[in-house]
Amino acid sequence: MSDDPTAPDHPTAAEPSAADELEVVDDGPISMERLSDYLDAGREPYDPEIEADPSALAQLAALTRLRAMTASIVAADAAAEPAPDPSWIAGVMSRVRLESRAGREIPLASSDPRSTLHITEGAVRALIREAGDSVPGAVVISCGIVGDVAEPGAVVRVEVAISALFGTAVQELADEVRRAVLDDLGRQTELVVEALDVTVRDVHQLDTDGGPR
Amino acid sequence: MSDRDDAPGREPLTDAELSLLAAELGALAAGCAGVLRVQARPGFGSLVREAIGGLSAVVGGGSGESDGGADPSSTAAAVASGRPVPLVGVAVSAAETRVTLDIAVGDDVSGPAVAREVAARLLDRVAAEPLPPASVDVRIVGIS
Repeated sequence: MSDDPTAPDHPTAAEPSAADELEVVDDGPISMERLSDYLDAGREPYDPEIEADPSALAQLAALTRLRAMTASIVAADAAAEPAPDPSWIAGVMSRVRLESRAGREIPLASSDPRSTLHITEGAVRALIREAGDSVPGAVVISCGIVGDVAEPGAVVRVEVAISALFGTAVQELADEVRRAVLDDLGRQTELVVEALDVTVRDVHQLDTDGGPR
Repeated sequence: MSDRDDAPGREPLTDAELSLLAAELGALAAGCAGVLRVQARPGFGSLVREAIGGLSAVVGGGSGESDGGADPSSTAAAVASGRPVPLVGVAVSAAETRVTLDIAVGDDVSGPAVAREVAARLLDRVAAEPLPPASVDVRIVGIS
């Protein structure tokens, strides 16, 4: 533990707290532990239940990114930039679990009246998360789409809360996340995004003794 | 399927033939550029029965075991022949044929464009069969 009184506060991965979320989130048919074990095993042997479940796949993708981020921090400088607190990662994953559910159906335009096309809100949230996580130094804590997405052409607002790697320029990081998310939303959805709010909610926990906080 | 009001001049499809058609539709969808996976729509069997009255046949929509897909009567045709239950669901009533599926698409393509292409291909294929007018419901459930 750091004795530095100026060190950043212990991060809160999401609000409500991770513990609160875990009480709320139904573990579902595929538990986080099972997903983690599956990833540990290199996704072998092939698990058809996991591989056919969009929610499970979104969680696997997010867990993979979080682990990669942790590994890169450790590899860069274990003493100066230790891995984030495991409970912080668990908090982020509890949000991922919530957001990966299918949610609302967002219509897509079709010129053929015989076709009904849509994309799930869960798929869009996973897209937002992946876009945000792709920006070096950013980890998406939570994201949401505010507005009547079920109404074709409705104006919506997108909210993204991120954690910034300690030492990064926060304003620039937020701008990069905004651009990345807007690019992907523009390509993969037909949402009319009125505003995209990026909130830097915390900073990845850094500790001076190499141990988790 | 004796009460099915199919196109005149051709024998209506049996449940087994309809199940084969569903499997073919799944392969067609999977072959569209940008489609990573074709998946069953969870709860397809029960949902379609609630939405459409007077159904004469319901096939496919997944095994229903792990994905909450179709029910036993929807999977019977495939099970009886020892084939996997098609992921694409096909429901037929006197007035319409409804095709239902979920897809995952690549992040390097336009999801909406891929969904439109899938729908168009499936509609073209179903139009060649002695079935009531078809509609297709395509949902993107993943982008990766």
